[in-house]
Amino acid sequence: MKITDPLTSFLQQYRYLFLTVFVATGLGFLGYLALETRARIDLLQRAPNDNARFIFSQLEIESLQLTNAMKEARSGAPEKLSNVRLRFDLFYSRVQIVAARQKNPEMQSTGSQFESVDALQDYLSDTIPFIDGPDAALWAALPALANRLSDLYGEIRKLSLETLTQSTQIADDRRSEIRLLLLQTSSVSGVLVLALGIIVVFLMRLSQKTSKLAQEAQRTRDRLRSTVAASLDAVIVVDEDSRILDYSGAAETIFGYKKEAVLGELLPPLMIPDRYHESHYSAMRHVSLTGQKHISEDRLIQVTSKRATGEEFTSEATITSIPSVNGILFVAFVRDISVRLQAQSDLVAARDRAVAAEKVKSDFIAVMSHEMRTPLNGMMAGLELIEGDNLSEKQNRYLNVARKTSHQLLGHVNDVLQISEIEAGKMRLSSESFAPSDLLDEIAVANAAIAASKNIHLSVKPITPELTTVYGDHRRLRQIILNLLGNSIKFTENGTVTLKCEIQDSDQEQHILRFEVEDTGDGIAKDAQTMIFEDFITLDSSYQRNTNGTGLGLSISRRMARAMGGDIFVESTLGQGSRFWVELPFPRTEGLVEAFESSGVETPSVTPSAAREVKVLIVEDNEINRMIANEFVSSVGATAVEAHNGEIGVQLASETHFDLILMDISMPVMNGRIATRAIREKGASMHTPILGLTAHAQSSDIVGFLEDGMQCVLVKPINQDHIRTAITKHVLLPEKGVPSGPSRRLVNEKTVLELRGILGPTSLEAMFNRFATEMETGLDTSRKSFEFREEFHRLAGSAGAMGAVLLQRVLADAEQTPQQSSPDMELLQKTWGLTRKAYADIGVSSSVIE
Amino acid sequence: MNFSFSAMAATAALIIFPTVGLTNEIHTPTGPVVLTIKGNISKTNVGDAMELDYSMLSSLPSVSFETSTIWTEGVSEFTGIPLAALLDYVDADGHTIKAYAINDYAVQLPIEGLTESYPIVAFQKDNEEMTVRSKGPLWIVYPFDSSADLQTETVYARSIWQLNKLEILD
Repeated sequence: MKITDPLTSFLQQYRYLFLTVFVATGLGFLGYLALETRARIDLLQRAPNDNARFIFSQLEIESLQLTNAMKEARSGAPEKLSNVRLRFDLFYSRVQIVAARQKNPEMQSTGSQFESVDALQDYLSDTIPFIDGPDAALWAALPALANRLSDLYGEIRKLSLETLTQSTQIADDRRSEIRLLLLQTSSVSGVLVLALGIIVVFLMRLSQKTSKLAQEAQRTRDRLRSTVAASLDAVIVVDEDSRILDYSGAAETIFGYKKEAVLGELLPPLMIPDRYHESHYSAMRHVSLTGQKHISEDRLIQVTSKRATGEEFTSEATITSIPSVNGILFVAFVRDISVRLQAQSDLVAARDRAVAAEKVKSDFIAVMSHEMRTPLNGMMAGLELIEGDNLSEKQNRYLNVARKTSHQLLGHVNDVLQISEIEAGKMRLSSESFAPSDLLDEIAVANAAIAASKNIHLSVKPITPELTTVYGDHRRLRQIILNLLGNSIKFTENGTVTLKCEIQDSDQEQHILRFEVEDTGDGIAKDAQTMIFEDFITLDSSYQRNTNGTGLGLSISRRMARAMGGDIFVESTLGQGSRFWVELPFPRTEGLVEAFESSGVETPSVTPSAAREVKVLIVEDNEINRMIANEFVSSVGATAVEAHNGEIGVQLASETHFDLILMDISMPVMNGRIATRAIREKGASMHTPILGLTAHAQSSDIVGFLEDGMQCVLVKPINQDHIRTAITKHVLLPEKGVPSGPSRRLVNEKTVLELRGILGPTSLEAMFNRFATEMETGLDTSRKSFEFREEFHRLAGSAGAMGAVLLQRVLADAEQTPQQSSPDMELLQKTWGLTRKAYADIGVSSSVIE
Repeated sequence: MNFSFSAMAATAALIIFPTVGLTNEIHTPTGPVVLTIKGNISKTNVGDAMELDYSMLSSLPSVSFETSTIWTEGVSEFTGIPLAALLDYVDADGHTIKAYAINDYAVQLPIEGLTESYPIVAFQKDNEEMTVRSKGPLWIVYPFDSSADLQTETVYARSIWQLNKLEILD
């Protein structure tokens, strides 16, 4: 609705009233004027004085006639006197008429007129005695009477003229009055005619408008009716008492009642399940009382409805209240959504089944891959052991094939595992400082030989300006670049491959770096360029035959790049070469994961020959730790003897002289402290330096250990340097000293690198797998067991041996969990997860993937 | 104000009918003649005219009514013979009456405009004979007060007083 100002709307509202009042007033006035005019005209018509002219002329004539008669009678016979008498009588009557007229107030007679009439009356009364008297007397008086009458003629004349002028004036006045009245009447009539004309025009327009509105309303009604009829939603109209007033065709279909059957009936018993009747009626009452428009806040509500068959179904309804002359009406639009809901739930179920099946499949693959790795490690270790024995050339060839294929198989398994790890979101990124150019140089050097074998010129374009430090996961970056470079070398023959790094973008917080590998190789067809990043895509059949590719390299690289916040791209022309590049953000400052200083200890070199005579006893209950310690000792050329608990250690030490004893503190049967005391009491090794091995060393503990007879305490994890230093210091150059303190790193890289150096990648992998298994099962049993302290102690030892320093520390802390308390399993799991990734980061996996 | 001063020349009837009436005995005037009726009439008593004296006139069936006039003061009662009845009395046959006054004033009245009851030829005013001085002896009077229609100039003009002669014209 149009908004108008108050005055306009007021006028619009009352304009009929105004017009009516105006016209009524006009008509009233006109009526008054008509009456007035009529009265005036009547007055005019009566014309009481209109014969004044006649009357006065008659008066004049009769006076002259009388004078004449008198004069004739005087000169003639006396019988002529009867004519004098007749003429006198006529004159007399004329005077009386004038006198009577004079007395009428309407005639507005003046004083002089009265005087004139009085003079005439005097004459008459003076003359009557003669007229009525004897002839002789009359005859004698005639001259005098005639003269006097002649004298009066002037008076009569004056009276006549005066009266005529006056009556003319009165007539004029009356005419002008009437004229004025007629003028007023015609003016009022004109105005009224105009007003009536306006009213007519106005009413015509109103009528046009009304009929137009009526037509429009009719059209709207028709449209609405056909809309409702065509609607697939049931439309039901009920009154305040829930009686059905209208019911659409769709409602018949949905509810199964015929329209005739339900009109006037109560809705709830027919279409609402019994248990919802109460809430239906209370909602209706609420709307009736509050007058709100909708029955619920949400316009669309889900309700349970009932069909004629009694079957219940879910429907969507919109219920609107409409005020009407018969109280509030409710219009409900109801849509049967039972089929839709069924389809929805079917779909959800299908999706859930598909997801579950997918999960089962990927879990199966992950488990299988994992399970395959252990026996594979055994096989590879076995192959390693065969090496070096006397074998024929043929056997060596077979051995090489077996070794190569087993490496390939391990690569495949690792690829699959890595993908499932990334997919599961378990990949954690490290943040360590590195120089991009150095990274490229390293990669180039490592691949120089293979490039040269294919007559490829491999070059590095240094980054300008030089970036010395960025922070990020350089191991994953290395893996990506290695993968790209590997592909380039595979598909290039007698060409060039260029490694490049550029700063794509920089801000205060990060650099976006672009690492590029460009070759002049085979190139990739346009339509294949999007496919190559998919899983298990290999373009070249020879590639599949000749290399260990699973077709997962690029897909892993892309997953990694995306996980690192960047992406990988390709540009290639078939026959001319390809350019792959990866764009990644690298923070300019350290991330949350701290990069630690190397805990490397500068030690004098120990020559194997010098250590050849050295015998070391390793007392350690943890198999891995024992094995690792053994390896370290062996690696420096010394001889190691193992004891898996304190008691065995004491026995061996008393029987044999050892140059050095590595003593674990916490052990079953007999712990390190008791064992140390026992060794110091008696036996062949009672003066042998004993180094305590502990995952956690507080100063109070260390004091206790020294009191027991230990020379020093090594905080796990121990590494080759520790052993080398210990041998140097305590055996070769006996001096008192304690190696440097525990590392703060998540994983002591040095430890791992040493292990790899000693064990070789395969054995390290095998050991890591064992460690991982131990960790998983250990954490799992600790969760359920009250004996978790012992378990944590054991696990802390293993973690230490593997260089998992943070895990070791957290396990050691958990070991100290107070009685009646539960250990923080979540923290442990988290730490384990981080540690696991850290291993992957520092090449336990990358060295294997190669 | 269209007063007609017609010529007084009367159309004289050449044939004299014996004054024999079927129903009414025809008298001749014994006193002074107050009204002479001439023209197209069947009933005559003196020559071709009907002459009436006061007693003859007053013996005819008369009517009375009260009215004021514009020439007299106050309301008066007039008694007289309706003009129509008078014409019946003389068996008049015509359309117009020409009425004469003593001073030879004359006026024409259409017979069509006469009613049974008025105008009357009044011979008494307030139960008295009218003299020439009081517009007598005869006066054609309408009941002016009874209707506005009778207050028009035409009616006033027809109200001739000092009447002494009627002439019935075609």
